[in-house]
Amino acid sequence: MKILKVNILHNFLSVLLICLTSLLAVEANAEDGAVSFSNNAFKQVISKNSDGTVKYDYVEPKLVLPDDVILYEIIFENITQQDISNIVVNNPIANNSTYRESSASGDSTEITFSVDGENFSSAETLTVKGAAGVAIKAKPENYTAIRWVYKKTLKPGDKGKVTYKTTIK
Amino acid sequence: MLITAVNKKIVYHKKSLPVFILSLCFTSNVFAAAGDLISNTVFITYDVSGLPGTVNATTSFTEDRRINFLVTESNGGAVVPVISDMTAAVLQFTVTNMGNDTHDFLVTAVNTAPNPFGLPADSFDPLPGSIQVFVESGLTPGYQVAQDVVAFIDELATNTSQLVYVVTDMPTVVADDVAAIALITQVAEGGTASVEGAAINADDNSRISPAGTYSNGATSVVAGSASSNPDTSAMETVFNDPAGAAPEDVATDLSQDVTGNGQHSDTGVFQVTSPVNLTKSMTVIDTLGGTDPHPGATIRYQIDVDVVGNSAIDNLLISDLIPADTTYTDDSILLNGVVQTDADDAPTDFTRAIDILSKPVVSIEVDLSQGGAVSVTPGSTNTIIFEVTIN
Repeated sequence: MKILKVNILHNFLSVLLICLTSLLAVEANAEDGAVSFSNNAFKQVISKNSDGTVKYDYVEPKLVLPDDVILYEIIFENITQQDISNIVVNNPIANNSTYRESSASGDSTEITFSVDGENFSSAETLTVKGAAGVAIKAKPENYTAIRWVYKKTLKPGDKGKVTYKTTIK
Repeated sequence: MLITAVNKKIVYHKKSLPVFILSLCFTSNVFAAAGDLISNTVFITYDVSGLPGTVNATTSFTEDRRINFLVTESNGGAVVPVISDMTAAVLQFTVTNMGNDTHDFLVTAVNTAPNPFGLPADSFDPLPGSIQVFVESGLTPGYQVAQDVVAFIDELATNTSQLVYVVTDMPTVVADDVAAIALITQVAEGGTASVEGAAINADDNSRISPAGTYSNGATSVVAGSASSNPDTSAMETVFNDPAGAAPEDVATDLSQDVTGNGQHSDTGVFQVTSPVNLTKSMTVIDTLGGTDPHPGATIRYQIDVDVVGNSAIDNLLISDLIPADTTYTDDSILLNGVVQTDADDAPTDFTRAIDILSKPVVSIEVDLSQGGAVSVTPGSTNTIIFEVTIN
């Protein structure tokens, strides 16, 4: 029972945090004195070049309809004079959105996924409970969060970048 | 009317159509709602000089409104048989909302051409002013005059469908005549149950709907004014409805339905058929009590005469030839189980075996109108039985 209470409190605080950040949603850049951090969304627009090859453009997401593809670009920069270590980026998948398979990337990062927001593992080993309670491999649409673990130390002035794509429901 | 006992069945198959699940049920909402703020928050944790730190950043944008819906005729992919002067003939259509918002839909039905099921071509229109449109209430399957009285589609959620009836009266026409009728649907604002929403006659992408009259004449919609606001952070509306699939699918300006005009249509077809359906069957009774059709065996023919539609039939005379290599069995005619005479002796009865005196009998006749004295009522079935023996 004690554990349950802790979980409820944790969930409540998580929801409260998300609600508060949503209220401040227009701000896509943040810093706390050590890391400058940006999170930007772009809509993918596909067109054809004159030679017939496919061209991908990424534009501000002003006109967004179901089935549109959104690219998220997350950049973090060390704005201190000291090394920054143990960098972990966590991104719950946004509402009305489905993760696009194999779209997550980031130099020098280990990428894992979650279907419950708590337990993370690689796309190959992540499971969900299927029919009759048997664990089956999770599909991209089951993912609720992505995690990047930065494997290096971020030197002063250096930047790191991670990206992924979603489809609008 | 002289009807011979030869069955004729006409079935036209329409162009290949995508298969849609027709359902009045609420299905799972796989699309999110238009106007939602899509908000993405990223969290970063780290250590600097041995001290943990955390920061987060949020980006958000609005999901815009995609208007997309489909009208499909729902009469089994074939013409709907009607009879001359029939009242309240019904065509069925299904409207499916494939956009990401709940909408009302305005409906109207118009005469169109050609016949989407192939030949014969459209050749008549229903009685002027008789075309009406009603939405299935969900109370009783099929068009119910007392229940299906609403003339617009109310609050159709994303990925759900609604059955609509076009109800009309037939003029005096002849068999095989064809009338093609298009159901035109115009998207409208949802949000308030049981209230017909205002038509959405323009999107934010310079596309407009033509003017039209809906709800059985009760609602007039003016043509939209083109405006372009495709790049604001607020919710925009985008017409994404497909063009009518065939030439007979029209918009309310009666030109071919085009993509992205907030309207969609499909066409159903009435085809005039005989008001009398004849079904003939036979049973062999051999001399040993079996069913082997050897010489001497008896063949018992049964003709069921069904009067369909909603008009009574006058002068209904049923005639059937005695097949070659068989001989009519005297006094074998039964009408609805009652023995009839072979003689031409009306008003004793109204059946006769032709050439019963000179023999061989060449045909039998049954005058269901009793020499013009009665009309045969719609919905009635008369059963005629007679026997022959195999020569």
